[in-house]
Amino acid sequence: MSARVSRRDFLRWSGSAFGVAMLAACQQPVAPVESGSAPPSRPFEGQTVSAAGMPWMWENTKPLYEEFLEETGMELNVATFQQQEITDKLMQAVATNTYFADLLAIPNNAAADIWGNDLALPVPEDLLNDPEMAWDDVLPVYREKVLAWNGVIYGMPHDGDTHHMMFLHSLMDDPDNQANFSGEYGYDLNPDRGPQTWQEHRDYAEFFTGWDWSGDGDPNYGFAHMMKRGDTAFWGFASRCTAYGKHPDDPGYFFDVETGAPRINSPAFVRGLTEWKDEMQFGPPGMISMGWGDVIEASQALRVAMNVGWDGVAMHREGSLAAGKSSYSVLPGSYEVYNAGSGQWENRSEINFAPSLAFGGWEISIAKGAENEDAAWALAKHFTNKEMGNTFAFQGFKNPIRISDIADIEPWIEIAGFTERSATTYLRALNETMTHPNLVLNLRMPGWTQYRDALELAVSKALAGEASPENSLNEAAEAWSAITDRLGGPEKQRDNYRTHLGLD
Amino acid sequence: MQQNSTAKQAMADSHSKRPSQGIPDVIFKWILILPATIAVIALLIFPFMFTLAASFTDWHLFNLNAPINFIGFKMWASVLTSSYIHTTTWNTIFFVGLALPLEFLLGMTVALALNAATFGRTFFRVFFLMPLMFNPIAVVFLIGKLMLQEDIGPINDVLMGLGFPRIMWLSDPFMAKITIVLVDVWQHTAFMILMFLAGLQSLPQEPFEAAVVDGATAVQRFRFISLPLLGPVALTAVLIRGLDAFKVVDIIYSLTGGGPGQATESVTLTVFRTGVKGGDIAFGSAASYLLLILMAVFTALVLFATRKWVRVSY
Repeated sequence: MSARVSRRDFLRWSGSAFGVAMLAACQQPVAPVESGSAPPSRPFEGQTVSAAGMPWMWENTKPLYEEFLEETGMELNVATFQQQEITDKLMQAVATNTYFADLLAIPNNAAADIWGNDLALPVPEDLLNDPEMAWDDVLPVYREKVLAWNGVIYGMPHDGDTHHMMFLHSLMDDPDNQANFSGEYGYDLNPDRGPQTWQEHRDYAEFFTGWDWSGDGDPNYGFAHMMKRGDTAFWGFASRCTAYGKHPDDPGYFFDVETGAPRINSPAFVRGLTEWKDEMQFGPPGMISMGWGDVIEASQALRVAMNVGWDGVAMHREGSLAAGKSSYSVLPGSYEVYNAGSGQWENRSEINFAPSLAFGGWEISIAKGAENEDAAWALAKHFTNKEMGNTFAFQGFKNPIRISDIADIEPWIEIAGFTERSATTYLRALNETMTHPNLVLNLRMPGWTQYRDALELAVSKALAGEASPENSLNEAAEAWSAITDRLGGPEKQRDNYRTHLGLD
Repeated sequence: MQQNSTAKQAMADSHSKRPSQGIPDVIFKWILILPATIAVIALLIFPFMFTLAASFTDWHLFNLNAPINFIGFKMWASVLTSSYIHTTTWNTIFFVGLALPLEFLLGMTVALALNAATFGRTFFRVFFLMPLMFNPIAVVFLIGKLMLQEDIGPINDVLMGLGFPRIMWLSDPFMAKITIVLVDVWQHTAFMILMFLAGLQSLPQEPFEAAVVDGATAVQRFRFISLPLLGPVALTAVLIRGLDAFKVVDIIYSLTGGGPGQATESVTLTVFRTGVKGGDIAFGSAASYLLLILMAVFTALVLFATRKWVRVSY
């Protein structure tokens, strides 16, 4: 009997062994037999929920959900990504119908792609009626529009985002500044609300530029806005133009709601961009390269007197020189507003305010096909119920989305570190923004990343002097039309835009 | 002799095709290379062909449920006539055309100095190679965000202290192109140094000794001995670094995002923006093939230009 093993035998045996191993690996694991079932207090014992989100959502917030995991027996498997990365991965998963995670933190812009294509589960009826969720406490614009698509609520109320204006009231309070400003511009500084129109904003910016009002030995600047392409310029520019381009009688802003044609090259947007470019002289050098993070840094360091952005909490963090000196207001408005229907500018007796729900927040949603659906909804509820939602907001882990988040200044003073004046103006600005009848919603359209890129390119080219505002926005409008054509045509995108606005 | 015959017979037996005793050699060879073949087909040839095929369609990832149509060369025509692509192509050529020669010259200079150095030799070798060890994003933060900050950055501070005007490193379209090149040079000159230093140390000493005896100056020794002998190394370094530079994206994406305007956007960033982020697979695929053609042209030009100077066989 030969002890030799032929190569064929070797391959046959090793192949068989491999096959057996693969088959074994594919078998469902057999749960060990236990003497009793899991106690009712740990209803999700042995279940693992996978979640995707940004690091700030999960890492610093651990103390707020560790106890919940312990009590329910739920295992949590978190995949964290940076903002741009998670958006890209989400969109790729959407496009390829690939499972990404049970619980998704969805950037509001991607809602049309995800919810509109039925790739997430509607919020179950029992959660919609759950007293702990207190849906009546969710600000109506979120409950009825932002968290819903086509009348169905898909998002749990986690994060609410709006653009508001921050200004240093300490500067506006100063009697010398008041006297000098009045003498120069013929009207008074407004320490309570800051500039109310973009024309006033320009005056304020000019006045506070080029001299050392912070006392650090260097000249300071009037304002900082987010202008960097590939960062947050899309929202910065959109918010700069709302007062001119959002007519109170016309629901459309980015697109025409009747034709689906882009409006981003209308005289309103051209005017906004022209003024923005002109006002760069009142901002820090290199403002075209400033993203939102740079704007925060400049504001915290008292290099600028005003900004437009998301996070009032940032001004009150440890190390911020703006703490206690900052107040907030809705975005400046305009006495002139462009009527796209008539193609004419209208002079109005009252300021046309059109606040911006820029970015719209991160919404928690459960993916269709979630492996542990009930556990995922339970975790979503834990994150977004009224009590926990308030805690998240006051600790600065998310922006307000509930009426109770902005109803009382006390927690903002005691927990978030605001002064009474800062808290009062902050909550007032948020309330006036999110309840405003002429509010511009964050753009939620299929293919929004391409729309965003095209607009940011045009804005950046104009700001850099590579093209005139009019020409660059005309190019952007052509690009938007081309994108629309690639995504099914103007009628389809018009319908999506109308759905986004809640018109149909 | 008898032993020799036995050995030959044994070898012949081992090469025989007797299935009953094992697998025939010819099949066994194929079995052995099968995994590698599958890997090459799956990871190289398939994506290559898939991308090519996608470039002849109108496939857009975010146009869900829409059919994918074959549209011939229409997408290629869109890419080739796109002013957006024209700009990013010129940006890429500008970047490679400036960064590569700078890195070559600086790399060669520093390598010659390090090769001749007698003091602190090991320290300086490690020191000059350090930029290569940094993550590009860290480089961008260190140089772009801190050093070159236009308002309060230390470099502008020093320059303005010396009476120079403020330089808009990232906000002026032309300066932003230069800044991207400078950041790349800062990081990747180390690669050239590494290559040239290795080349210099492997050169034979005899020609140099003979040249010294003949009274050749240092410049003459470099011009007529070092440089020709370094030809293959230089060619390799230029090709590797050049092809890598054509694909630049990390520095640009994190430093300027392609701006201001479109001043610093490279073809790779365009492919990433349209194909990966934007979901326009067809356009992105055609644009990526444009980049491939550019790189092939670059390689052919380099090989053609150096065909007499560098004698290497491929």
